[in-house]
Amino acid sequence: MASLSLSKINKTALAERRTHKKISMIMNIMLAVAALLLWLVGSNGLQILGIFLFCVGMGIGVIASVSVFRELTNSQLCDVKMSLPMSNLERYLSRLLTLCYIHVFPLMAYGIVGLGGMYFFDKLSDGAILGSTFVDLVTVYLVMLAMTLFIDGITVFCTTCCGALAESVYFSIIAMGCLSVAPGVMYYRIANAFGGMSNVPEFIKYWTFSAVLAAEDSMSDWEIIYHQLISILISCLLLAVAYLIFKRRDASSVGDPIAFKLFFELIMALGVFTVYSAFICTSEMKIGVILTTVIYLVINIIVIRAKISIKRVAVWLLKLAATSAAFMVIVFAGFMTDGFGIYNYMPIRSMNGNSIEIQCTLSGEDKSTYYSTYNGIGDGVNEELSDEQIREALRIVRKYGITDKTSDRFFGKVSGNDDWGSSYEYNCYVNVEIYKHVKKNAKEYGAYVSDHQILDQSIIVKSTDLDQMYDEIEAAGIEVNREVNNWTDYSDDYGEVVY
Amino acid sequence: MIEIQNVSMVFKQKGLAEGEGFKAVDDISITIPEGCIYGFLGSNGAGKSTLMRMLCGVYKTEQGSIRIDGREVYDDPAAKGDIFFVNDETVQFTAFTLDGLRKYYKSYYPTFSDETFDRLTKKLNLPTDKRLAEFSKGMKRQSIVIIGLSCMTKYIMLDEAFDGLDPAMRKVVKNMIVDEMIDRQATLIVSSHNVAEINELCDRAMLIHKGKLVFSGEIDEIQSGFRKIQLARAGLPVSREELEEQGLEIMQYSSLGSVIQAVVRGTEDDIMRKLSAIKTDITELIPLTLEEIFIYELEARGYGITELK
Repeated sequence: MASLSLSKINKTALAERRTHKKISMIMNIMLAVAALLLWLVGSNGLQILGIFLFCVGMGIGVIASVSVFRELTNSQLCDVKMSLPMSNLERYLSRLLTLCYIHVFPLMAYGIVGLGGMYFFDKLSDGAILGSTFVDLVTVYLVMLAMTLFIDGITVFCTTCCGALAESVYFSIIAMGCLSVAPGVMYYRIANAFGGMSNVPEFIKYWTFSAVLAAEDSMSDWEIIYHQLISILISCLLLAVAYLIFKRRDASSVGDPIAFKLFFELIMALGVFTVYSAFICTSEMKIGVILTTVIYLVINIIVIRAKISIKRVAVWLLKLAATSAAFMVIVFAGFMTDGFGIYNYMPIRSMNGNSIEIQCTLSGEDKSTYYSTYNGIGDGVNEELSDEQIREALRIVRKYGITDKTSDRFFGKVSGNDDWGSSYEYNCYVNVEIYKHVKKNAKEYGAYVSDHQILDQSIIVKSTDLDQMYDEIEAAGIEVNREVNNWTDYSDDYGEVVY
Repeated sequence: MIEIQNVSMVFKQKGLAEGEGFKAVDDISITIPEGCIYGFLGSNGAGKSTLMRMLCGVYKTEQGSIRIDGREVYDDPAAKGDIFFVNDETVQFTAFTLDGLRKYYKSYYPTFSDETFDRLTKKLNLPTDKRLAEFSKGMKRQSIVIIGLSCMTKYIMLDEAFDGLDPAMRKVVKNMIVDEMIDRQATLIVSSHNVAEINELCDRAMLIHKGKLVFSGEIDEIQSGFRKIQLARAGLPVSREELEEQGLEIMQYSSLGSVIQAVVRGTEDDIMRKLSAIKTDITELIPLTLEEIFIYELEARGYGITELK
C-alpha cells in the first residue's frame, strides 16, 4: 500500500511538473549556462556571473514554490486539484516532489556539473575563484542546497498560510529577510550593549542566510558542512510544519489574503522586531519607529481587503504599540540579565588549550588608523586557564570597561601630540577575546567588546588605567604578557597610512 | 449512493475583516441514489456550488456529514476516486492541450479510458494537439466533459456545465453525457440556473435558497405537489383568506374581476378536497412546470420579487 502510494505521488508529481514547463525550461537553460561559466577557470568575471546565475536560480524558488502550490491561492485550480483522488498528505508530498523536479533537482544536478567541472579544470590551471579542494566544493554545494531549501521551505510555509498570490510572495520575501536578520541582529545588539560580548551566536551558524555570513567567520570546511546539514534539517522541519497547516486548508480560505491570522500577527511582529533591532541602541531609534509604523500600516492596508475606518487604524496602532512594548520588554530583560547571561557565558568548557587575549585598540578621527596599542594576556600561550580565572579576568575588564564606566578613566578619547606638535585624539575600546581551540587550528571564540560608541561614553583613557587593570589580572593569578604592549605607528613621514 | 446529512457551511470573513461569517449551506439533508441524474436548482448564491464542492471534498464538512458509498469524502482518495468534478470555469485548463489534459488526468485516475476519450473527441471533432486557450468557450466545456467522462468515475458532478454552449451543442453534449452515464449506470449531478434544462435532463432535483433546502425528490413527484388553480365566482371573487381557511397553502395569489388565480402547494386530490367546501362557478387545476415551481417558490421567499413582478 505504501509503495503504491509512493508511486502515485511520483506519478502525479511528474504530471504536475508538466504544468510548470516554463519554469523548468528557464531553470535548465540558466543553470546550464551557469555551470559552464564555472568551468572557465581563470576568468573570474565569468565565474562570478556563473555564481550569480546560480543565486538567481535559487531565488526562482520563490516563484516555483508559489506556482507549485498555486491551488492554495487560486480557487479554480483548487477546485480541480482538491477534488482529485489524493489524500492531503499525498497531495502535499506530490507538490514537494514537483518542486524538487522543477527547482531543487536542477540546481543540484547543475551544481555538480558546474563545481565538478571547476574542480577538474582547476587542477589543470590555477586561478579559480574558490579554493577548489574537494571539501571546499562539497561545502559550496551544501551551502547552495541549504539556501535553496531555505528559500523553498519559507515560501512553501508562507504560501500555506496565505490564500492570495501577492501575500504568498511578499510575505515569503519578508519572512526570509526578517528570519535571517532579526535573531542575529537582536542577539548582537542585546549581547553587545548589555553583555559586553560581540561574538557570532552559535545558533546563527545553523540559521538561514546568516549561515553564509557565519561561514566567513573563521570556520573550517567541516564545521561549515556540519552547520549546513543542520540548516537543511531545519528547512525540512519547516516543510513538515507547513504540512500541518496545509492539511487544514480547504478551498474556503483560498482567495483570502491571510488563511491563518496568527501567521500574520507573527510575521508583523517579526518585521517590527527586525527593524527595531537594527535601530536599537543607536541614536537613530526614532527613524526605526517611524519606518516601522509606516510599513506596519501599509501592509495592514494591503491585507485588510475591506473598508478602512478610523477604528481599524486605531486597532492597528494599538497592535503596533503592543508589539513595540513586547520588544522593549525583551530589551529590558536583556538589560536586567546582562544580555540574558551572555556576560557570564563561558565558551571554554572542556576546551583544550585556552588563551585569553585582551586588546586595547585606539581608533577614531582621521588619525584612527595610525596608531594602535595591543596588550595581551597569555597571548599565543596554550595555557590552561580555569573558568574561575577567566571569569575573574573578565570581571576586572568589565569593571574597567563597562561597570565602572562613569569613572572617567578607561574609555573615550586620548589626547596626544604628533612630531609637529599638532594635537590629536583617539577613541579607545577594549576587546577581550577568549579562544577555544578546535580542530585544524580553527578558533571559536567569544569576543567581549566594550565599545565606547555603544556605551556612548566620552572619557579619558590613561595608560595607568591599563596598567592598573593588568596588575589586578596578574593578582588573579593570570600571567600578563606586558612585553607585547606596544604602540605601533602605521603612518609614514607624510602622515599616510602604511601597512 | 450519496448521503448528505445536516450539512452546513459557514464562510469566514475574508482578509482581516472581523464579523460574522456567511452561511452558504444551512442544515441540508438529501440522499442521491445511484444511477440517477440529479439536478441542483437554486438562485444565484443559493449554495449549489458550495454544496457540490463539499460533495467532492473541495470544502471540508465542518457540520454534518457527506458520505459517498458509506465513506466520508474529504481527504479520502478512495472516495474521491469515484468522483469527477467539473466546476463552472475553464480558465485553469487553458495551458493544456486536450492530449495534455488526458495525460494529466490519467496520472490521477487509473480508470481513465483512452478508448472513451478517443471516441468522444472524434465524435465532437475536437483537436487534441491544440491548446485549450485557442478553443471557444463551448469547445473548452466539451473538452472538460469528455475528460470527465473518460475518467470513468461512478459520479460526475457538473457545475453550470452547459454554460457557453449553443443550443445545438447543448443537445449534443447532453445526449453524450446521458448515453455514457446510462451505459455504465453512473450518477450525474448537475447544477444549473436553467430550470428547463434540469427538467429535461434530470430525474431528480432539489431546490436550494439562501443555503436552505426548499424541496428535493423525483421531478414528477415535485411537480405533482404544486398546482395552479383558477377559480371563477360571479359577484364576489374567492378571496385569499377563504382559500387559506380551507387549509390551502398559497404561494401566489392574483385576481382579475371575478376570476382568481393562485399557486397552491399540494397534490391534485388534496387540493380538490379542500376546494370542495368553496362554491365556485369554475374550478380549474393546472399542473406547473418545474420552472414555474422554481419561480413561485423563490417568490414566496421574497427572492427577486421586484424583478419578477
